[in-house]
Amino acid sequence: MRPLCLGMTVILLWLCSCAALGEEGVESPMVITIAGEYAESLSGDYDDPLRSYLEEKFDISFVPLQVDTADASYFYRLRAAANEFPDIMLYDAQWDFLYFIQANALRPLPDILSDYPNLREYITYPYARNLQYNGKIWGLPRSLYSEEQRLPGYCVLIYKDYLSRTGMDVPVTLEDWHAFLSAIQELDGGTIPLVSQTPWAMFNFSYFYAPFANTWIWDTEIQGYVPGFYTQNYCERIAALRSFWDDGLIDPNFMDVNCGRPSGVDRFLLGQAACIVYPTSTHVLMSEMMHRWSQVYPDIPIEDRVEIAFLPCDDSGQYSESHDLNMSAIYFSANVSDEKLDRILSLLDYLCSPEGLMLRRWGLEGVDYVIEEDAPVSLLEEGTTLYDKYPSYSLLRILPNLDDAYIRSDPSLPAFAGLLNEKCAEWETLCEQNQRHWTSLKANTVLTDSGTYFNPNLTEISFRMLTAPEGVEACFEEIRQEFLEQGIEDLIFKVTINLQ
Amino acid sequence: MKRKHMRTVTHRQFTRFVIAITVVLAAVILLTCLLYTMVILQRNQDYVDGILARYQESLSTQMEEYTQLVQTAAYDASVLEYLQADDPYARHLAGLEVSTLFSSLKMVQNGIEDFFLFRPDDASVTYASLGARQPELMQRLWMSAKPAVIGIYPYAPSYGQAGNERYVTVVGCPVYNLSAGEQHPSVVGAVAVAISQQAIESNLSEFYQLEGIHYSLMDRHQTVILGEQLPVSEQDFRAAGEQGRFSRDTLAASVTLISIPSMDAVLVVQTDKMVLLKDLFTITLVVLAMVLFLLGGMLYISGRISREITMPLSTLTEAVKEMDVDPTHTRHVPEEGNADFRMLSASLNRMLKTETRLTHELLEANRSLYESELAKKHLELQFLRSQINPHFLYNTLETIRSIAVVRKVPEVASAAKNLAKLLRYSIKGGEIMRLSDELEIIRCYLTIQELRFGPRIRTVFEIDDDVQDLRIPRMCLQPLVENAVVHGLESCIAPGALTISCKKDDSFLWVAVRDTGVGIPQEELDRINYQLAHPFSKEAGQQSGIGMTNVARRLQLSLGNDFAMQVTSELNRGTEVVLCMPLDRL
Repeated sequence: MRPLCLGMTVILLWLCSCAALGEEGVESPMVITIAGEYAESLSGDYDDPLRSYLEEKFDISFVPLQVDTADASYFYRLRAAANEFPDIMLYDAQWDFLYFIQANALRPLPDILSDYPNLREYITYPYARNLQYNGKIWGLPRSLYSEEQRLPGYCVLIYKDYLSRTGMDVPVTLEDWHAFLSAIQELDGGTIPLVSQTPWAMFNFSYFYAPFANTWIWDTEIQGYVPGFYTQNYCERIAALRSFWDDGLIDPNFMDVNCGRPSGVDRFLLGQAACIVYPTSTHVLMSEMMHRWSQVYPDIPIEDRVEIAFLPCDDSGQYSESHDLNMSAIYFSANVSDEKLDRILSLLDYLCSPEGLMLRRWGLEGVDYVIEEDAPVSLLEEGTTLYDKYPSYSLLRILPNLDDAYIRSDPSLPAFAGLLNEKCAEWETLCEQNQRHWTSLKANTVLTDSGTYFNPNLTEISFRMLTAPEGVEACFEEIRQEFLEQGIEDLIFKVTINLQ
Repeated sequence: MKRKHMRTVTHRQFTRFVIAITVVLAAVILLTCLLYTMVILQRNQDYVDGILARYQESLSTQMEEYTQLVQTAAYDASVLEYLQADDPYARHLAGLEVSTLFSSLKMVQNGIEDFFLFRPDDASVTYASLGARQPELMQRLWMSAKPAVIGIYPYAPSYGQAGNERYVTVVGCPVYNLSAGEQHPSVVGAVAVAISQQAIESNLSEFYQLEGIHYSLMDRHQTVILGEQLPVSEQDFRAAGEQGRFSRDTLAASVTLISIPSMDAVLVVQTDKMVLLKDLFTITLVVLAMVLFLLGGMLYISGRISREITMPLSTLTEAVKEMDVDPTHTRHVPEEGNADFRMLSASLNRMLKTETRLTHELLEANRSLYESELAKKHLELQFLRSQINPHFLYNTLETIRSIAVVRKVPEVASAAKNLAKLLRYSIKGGEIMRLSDELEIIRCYLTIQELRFGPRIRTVFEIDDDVQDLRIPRMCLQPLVENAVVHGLESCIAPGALTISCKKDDSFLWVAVRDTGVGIPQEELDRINYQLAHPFSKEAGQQSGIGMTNVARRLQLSLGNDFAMQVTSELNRGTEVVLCMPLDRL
């Protein structure tokens, strides 16, 4: 009897220890820090089934670091200096991401991506080249937009009230716009006629989608490649905007970002501005403007009060082509281990897979939609968007960007976003039908040393020219001279040789 | 067979004992639970108070840090330059410095949601993120003379987070133009920083790890900034604001409100007593259940013990008592209870059966013995009688009487006549005679004795008239008289008296033979009385002759145990023999 009791006691203790060991054996999820715009939408403070689904599926835990575009460069440089680079960096690193490479803050993608077949689709030639340096690819492009895409990057939102009060039609040419904005100024001296979502958006008003520092354009005059900011075209487009500035039709503070001052969106939303140059990205529109509008005017649909207009064209009806040459990409910290990189890439690969695309287009199956054989997707809840239901959607939607064709065809698209897409399509048709040609700035983007030797900060140069007392032309010449003194000619020569 | 009561005295006592113990245990458990409850609640309150104190302290420190940060920002040269720049490009360049400053400050200090830089000519609502309460914020901001907490305000972040209203704590101060030569520095703007609720909530992390404790941070409008919506009356809220701390204790919960002046807010902490004590109540219920289970078990065992041990024991005891009282009444005990008791009862029943059988056999043997004894006595008597030819005696005595008459000796004639009568009485006739006849024989005997003793013995007869015809066993009185004469009076030198009385009452015939003779020593007297009480015992001796013992035996055989015979005596004073016989046997 005693041996039996002793044996049973031993077995009981063993079973209890198994439970304890089992608890110790449970591993905690892999923590992934992700920085960039919309990063905060991944915060664990929100009850978000979509985020939870992905965290559970990949056994990860997101730690977000919200970084606004305006101070992104400084933010990341500080982190790099402190060796606290986030695991994932979402950055529109047009001109300085070489800095991070040389600061050993980034790690390149693996040479073989066969384990991530869906991601391979994003690594297309132009974008791979954009992110290529020293034989490695240093990031994942965030966009699938083709080089031939002609979607305008920006439009102008106008309060309908001003159209009716001024009695004017929606402006078309730059001259029309000048007249319209002047009329607004006369009508209400306290209202700013034109603001912009960002400083860069304002410069787009003069149909200039400025090439970036690493965008090299073939200059027929010199028969060589030159940086976009080094061309006369650039100067002319700044000059076109100068008249608006001089007449006080543009927000005098449009350049003041991240210094605690209200943004152009604030001013437009609060009725302190009549018009705003705003991106045509459905994502940006829905996540920012429409979201903020619903907070300020919860009972007023935005489409009841706001009109959408094209960017101005010149007198001959010529628009600038929108080059989707942005280098928005997903970069990875040099501190990320192979195992963690594999986990991250698996996640991104999943988000690009058919199943992941369904997730990012329609949401969670059975919760947001159902799909039956040979039947279209059926939404389970009308009147709400995935932005409203899942805060993390703001980021997951651009991780990487969803294809534009879906965005335009999204049946759950709110009315105003649908109007914007219609406007973009109308603009394309208009250009084709009315033969409004555009200048195709065939540019190559090469990651060169320009980010190091030249830190043009195009918005600053543009503003300098815009406000130069001596005039745009004279200021431009000064700037060119400064570039010359910094050795831009050598760089031009080097790049031309490289690209030919 | 009549069913006996289910509970024995022992079982009832045991049951009462068990119930009493259970009640006491339950009372002790409940009392312990109550004491633990008080201790837990008090400890919890002390713990909460400790947390609150630490929270107040850490929050004050935190607000002070933010205040210093705002001051740093407000008096940074780039901010001043930005606010005072007229040239747009110069302002832009200063703005870049301000942007760098703000970014650096965000990196250095956790919890900063946003920076705001106000101009005096700004509209009352300048930032869409600050919502409708911005005019109030700005008014307080312009009124504050130094860096301070302006208040808690709703905040709507710009991107992507739909639906969640958040609150931020705004710390700010005006920016003064401190240029040399300015006698009265003018306000050129104001700097404010919005602190996220997460930064403040982190101080409360201890609370949301505790089960049963809810907290709520409310601004001065009683709007919940952090935590849960807790029911707080305006009165209590106001009291907390005025007194700094207010507590309200109810049966279900205790609520503590403390004022956070540094944030112009009130922290409400509610402790759900039921949740705190849930485990204790569970344990108490489990223990009570175990006690009740134990009680049930004990009662069950008690019942089993009662059924199998105490009740059979009681039955057995009752049966033995009854047997003790009346050995002839209960001759069987129920065989019930556990195996041991059944075996015991069965053995007892067998013993009783055996005893009954042996008793019957003994009685039968006694009867046979008695009959044989009786027969023997009869034979002895007959032999005795046959040893002397009665006719010869009669004839001889008659001859003697005749001769005495002829020779004119009347004493001899009388003696012979009485003797013949005595002889005839003792031999002839049945065993039961009339009392009057017995008395006649006694007179004959005494007449004979008179020849010897002469007037020395005086005899008195005290005979009631209504006893003459009572029938008594023959020769039961005469031996007594003879004893009195022979053993009592004969030895006396002085004259003696002999009294023979016969009386009756409702139930008995009382016959007493009393002499004034020498008496009987006490020891002898005791032996005689014992013999009379136990005439057939061995101690009664082997006397078979006519004597008191013989009389007692014959009376017992005739009357059974329903007679009494007692001798009392006093030395030199006399002896009395009393005979008591039931009238219904005569």
